[in-house]
Amino acid sequence: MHLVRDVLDKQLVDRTRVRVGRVDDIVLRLDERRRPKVEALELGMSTLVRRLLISVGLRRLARSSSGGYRLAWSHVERVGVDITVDVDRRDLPLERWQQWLRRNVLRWIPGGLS
Amino acid sequence: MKKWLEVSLGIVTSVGGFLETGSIATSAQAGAAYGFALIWAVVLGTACLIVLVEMSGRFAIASRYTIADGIRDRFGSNLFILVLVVMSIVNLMVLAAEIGGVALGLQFLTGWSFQWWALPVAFAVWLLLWRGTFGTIEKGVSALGLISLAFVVAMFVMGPPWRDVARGALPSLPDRNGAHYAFIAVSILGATISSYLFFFYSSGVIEEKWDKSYFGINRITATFGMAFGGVLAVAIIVLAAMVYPPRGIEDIESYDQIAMILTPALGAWGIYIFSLSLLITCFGAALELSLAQAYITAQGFGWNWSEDAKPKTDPAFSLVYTVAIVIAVIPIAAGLDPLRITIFSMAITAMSLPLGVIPFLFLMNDETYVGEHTNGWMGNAVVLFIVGLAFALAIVTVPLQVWGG
Repeated sequence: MHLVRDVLDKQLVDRTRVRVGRVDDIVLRLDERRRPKVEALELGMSTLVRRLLISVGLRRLARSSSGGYRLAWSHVERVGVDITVDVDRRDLPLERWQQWLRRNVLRWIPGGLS
Repeated sequence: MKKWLEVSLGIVTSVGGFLETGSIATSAQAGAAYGFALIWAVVLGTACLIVLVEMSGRFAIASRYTIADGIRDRFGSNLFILVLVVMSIVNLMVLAAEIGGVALGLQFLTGWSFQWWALPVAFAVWLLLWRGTFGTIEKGVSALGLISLAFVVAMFVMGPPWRDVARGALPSLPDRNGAHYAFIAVSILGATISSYLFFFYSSGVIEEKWDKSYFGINRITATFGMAFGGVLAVAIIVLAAMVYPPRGIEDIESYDQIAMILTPALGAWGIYIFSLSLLITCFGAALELSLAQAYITAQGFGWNWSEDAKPKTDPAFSLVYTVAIVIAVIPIAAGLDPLRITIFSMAITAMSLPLGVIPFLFLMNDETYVGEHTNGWMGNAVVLFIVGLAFALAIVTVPLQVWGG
């Protein structure tokens, strides 16, 4: 498996095939024999901003930004065209944010919750 | 049989994305100023558009991904954000122009200023998206859009010198004011090859659940759908060439002048039919642009999206088009001239074109997405040509806007 080609920026779906975000970054950790291991996938807008800052040369600013949500690699079920994860999507940042939108925005718009 | 009805996806993409305020305005200007001489720009633009729309459909059928998915997937988040930012600016500007077009249509029908119609129009666009499904929008717009065939009928009533019309389909140099001629040619190409069509159409393929048995239908849909828009645009150039110069109008300065384009051929009904055509085609375009904006955003960030789902299911997706409409209505409600916004938005569409076209070169040749359905050498040659054209357009737009606009 090629991490950048097959994992980074790929669509994440839960077991019910609902899209739950994309792999915005990959977290590696060195094990005791100093071999890199994939620890988690990182999700969230702040992660995207950090990648953007790094690529335009603002490394210091990028380092100061807090990372996004980390989804442990053990939750990855299948890496195919999309990446299937076995988590409840209500625990993921996208669905939490959408829940906030339902509660605070949609309820004020007619037909928003019907 | 059902599959054949699917050609309506092409017609709606065309009615909504091709023949809209941009094409109507630029075609009318072209005909008034240069007679039949700029028909070639519509022909060239339509040919390019057919090729790219077919590819975006083929990409979606083969990969189950849309063009926006492909851009994020293949080129990463940074390029996606660049595309998103540029496309959002262009989309919002064109969306404002389309809301203005609908409002102007209503102004011609009722006599009340377009400014007062801006908010009701924006509300209607939003309501249809909020409550409707992709199918109802698609079939409704394509059925109502057939009224714009009135332009073709009027062209035949006017009985143009067909030999001269045919000659206009071949590129030629103007006898005067070359910068203005080039500016209109660029605007026509910009109004024709609009990037949001690829995002919309490839998403439509997924919404309509086209499977691998649809490659042929896709080819037919792209060809006939876009040709439909092309024929209408040519008809407007022909009409403008026959209507305006004899009346001493060479430069279209307001939509009031364009509104009378059907009157010589269709009499008193002309103004109503024109207004309805303007209203419906711009309404279709407004729906399409709002959706395209929501599609690009949702797909690139990996949100769940579908126009068929209730807002409650995909709130983020639904709120993107809601916000887009709210922003785009502001300039029209403030009373900015819709024709000016239109001309300007066509120019920035032309400038943004390279960003919309270059991904095709890579995506359509990447077997991980399209498998055996990659481009042949001819398809690639055409895309390369369009990329070259897109760069040329992007570079000349600003100078031409200054010297020829």
